[in-house]
Amino acid sequence: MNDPYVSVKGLAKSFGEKRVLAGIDATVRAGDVVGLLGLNGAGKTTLLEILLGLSPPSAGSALLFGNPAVAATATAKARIGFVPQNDELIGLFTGNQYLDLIATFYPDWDARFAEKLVAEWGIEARKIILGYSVGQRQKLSIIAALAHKPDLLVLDEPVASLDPLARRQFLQQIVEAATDERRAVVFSSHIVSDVERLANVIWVLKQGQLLWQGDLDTLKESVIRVHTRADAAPTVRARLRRVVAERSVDLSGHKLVALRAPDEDWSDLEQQLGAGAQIERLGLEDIFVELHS
Amino acid sequence: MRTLARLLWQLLHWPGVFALFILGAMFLVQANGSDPSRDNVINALVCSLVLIGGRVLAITGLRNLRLLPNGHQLLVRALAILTLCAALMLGGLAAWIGMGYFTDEPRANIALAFVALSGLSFLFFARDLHGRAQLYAVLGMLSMTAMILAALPRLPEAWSWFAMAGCVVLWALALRTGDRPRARLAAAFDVHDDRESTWLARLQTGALLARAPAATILNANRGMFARPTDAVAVTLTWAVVIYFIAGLQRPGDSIVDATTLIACAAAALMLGQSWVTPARARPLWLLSGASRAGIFKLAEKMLIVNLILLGVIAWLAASGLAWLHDIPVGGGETLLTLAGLLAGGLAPIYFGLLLPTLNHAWQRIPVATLAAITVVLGPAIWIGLVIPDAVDGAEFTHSALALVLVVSCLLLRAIAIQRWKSIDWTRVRNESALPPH
Repeated sequence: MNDPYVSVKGLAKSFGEKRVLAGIDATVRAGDVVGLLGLNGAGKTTLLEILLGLSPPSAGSALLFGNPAVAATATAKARIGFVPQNDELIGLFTGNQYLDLIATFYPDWDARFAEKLVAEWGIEARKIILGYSVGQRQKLSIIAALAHKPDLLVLDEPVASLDPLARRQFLQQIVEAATDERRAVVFSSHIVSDVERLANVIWVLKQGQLLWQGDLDTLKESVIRVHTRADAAPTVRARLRRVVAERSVDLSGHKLVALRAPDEDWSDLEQQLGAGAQIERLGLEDIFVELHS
Repeated sequence: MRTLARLLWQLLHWPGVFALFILGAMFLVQANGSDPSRDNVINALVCSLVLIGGRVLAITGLRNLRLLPNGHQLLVRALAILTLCAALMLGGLAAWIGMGYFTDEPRANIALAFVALSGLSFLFFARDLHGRAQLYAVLGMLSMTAMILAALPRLPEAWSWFAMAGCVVLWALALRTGDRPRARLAAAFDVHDDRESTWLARLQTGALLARAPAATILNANRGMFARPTDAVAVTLTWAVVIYFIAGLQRPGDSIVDATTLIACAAAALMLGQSWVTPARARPLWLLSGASRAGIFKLAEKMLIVNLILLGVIAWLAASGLAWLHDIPVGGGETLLTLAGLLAGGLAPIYFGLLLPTLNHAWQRIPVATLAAITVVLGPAIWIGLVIPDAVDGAEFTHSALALVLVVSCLLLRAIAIQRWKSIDWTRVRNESALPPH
């Protein structure tokens, strides 16, 4: 198996007394498109910045192309494209000047590709960046991260400010990037439908811990919502090892959300739960909501 | 209470440093016995209040303050506290040197307060504007300053009080209208349009792009050095205001005061610029391929180049003052003065590079205080060293202090580079960026 691009083990991060991340173990390999989900304040940006070496971990290790991320080599960094949550563009420059400046840092910069995206995405590249809308700034940041064809593309909420058309164009670019098996993409987003559409690996971050990591289909198979009578709820609860949410829906009804434990067998779950319980399979958005409810 | 405390901190953050260096410089001048005049103390107060006033005007433009239901109350309370502090500060100083207040002719001080406040109001309003409007605003301010100064000696004494009253009214109006004057100024200069065709935009981006790509990234964006015209405009304005305040009242013998203050202003500018550099260096981590220590060296090199540029401007300003007052200055001496200006700015550079890497308030507060003191002492020591007659010829002491300063610089550099090796760019980011999550 190929070496992982990113590998973190026992990763923890604290800012003073505040613990932001704890006990994270994860890997990103070529061909992975990782969708990082989490509520505001869950630690997504911090995690992504640790993966890129921008922030040293408080404990554990973060390896980038086999070396500690905080000591990443120039070769490793040339293989990375990053779109930060808050762009780092130079307001005084025109779009063209900015892209020309960024191009000087990358020997493999594909100027034609950049020009093509600028034209397709309708960026007014001869205008200074101060006059851009938030969406246009976001598009320019994305182009600057894509044009050197990085092996590892990391995007921190890249579509937050894009209009539906630009979002579709952006997603198309990510799909094209993902078809190249040499490349990997890690992106965080609050738009669950985009994550569902693009990602083949999902990371769900909750209160600084990875509540789930694995492929999307397995996640969908591993979370169920069980509708049952209130009086049958204790029996159902006893049979499910990891109940993550539970609530009454009316006087007699009850809902439980369960996440399958790694060694738990759900092959004959319906029979185990009995006739009074109905099992509902969920889409990613519902899973996300239930895991955070 | 917490919001009020934060607001006070915002108000005092930079003016506090500036006020400190002005007061410190005045103290130095007095301690060296050149002229223990009450004007020095009053000027120090005027400078402090004016700088605080400028900061107030800048803060009233903040949308979030204007959106707070009790924003005005908070501002008024903060202003009252600041005024009280300033009055106590002045009172203490005045009592210390044993003088009375306003015993004769307050006109000059009032007029200067008016001029400086008006000028700095313009400057602060213009600060967020694009280059063209900023240049016009600064030019307007300089013209207005010159006109008022030319007219004042011909005006009756009472007019100064009217001018002061007008100034207060203008200030109150600025507080009421918040960011609207700024928007009006921007609209008047039509600066939000595409600027690709303007000569100034081409000149400024050309100047930025002429530098190495890493230096361009570090220099560009926010702050006083975002555009080359910013640096020139800010330095010139400071030099002119300081000249008027420290030099004009006592022509001839106050040239050293003015030169010291100009050098202090240059050092303060360098501290300000280097303070924001760690945040600006963040994009270079992935772009440049350099290690953290390598990025430190890139930043250090860029700041030293900027210091040389600034030193030349400050030196020109100081030489201009000497020329205006017919003070003969030899070629070797002027070069030594220039070297002094540059050396005085070195320590603030390393303080600025170090400060954002300190994660705890108990580390930052003493280091920031030390930095503020160095901003005052560094240039004063160097100026004293190169113009020994100006400070009672205390050559030995100054040589020893200069040596201490050099050793301190090297030590500071070693500490700063060590801190940079583990810099956390999730913590250190531009002020406008959102906190990490």
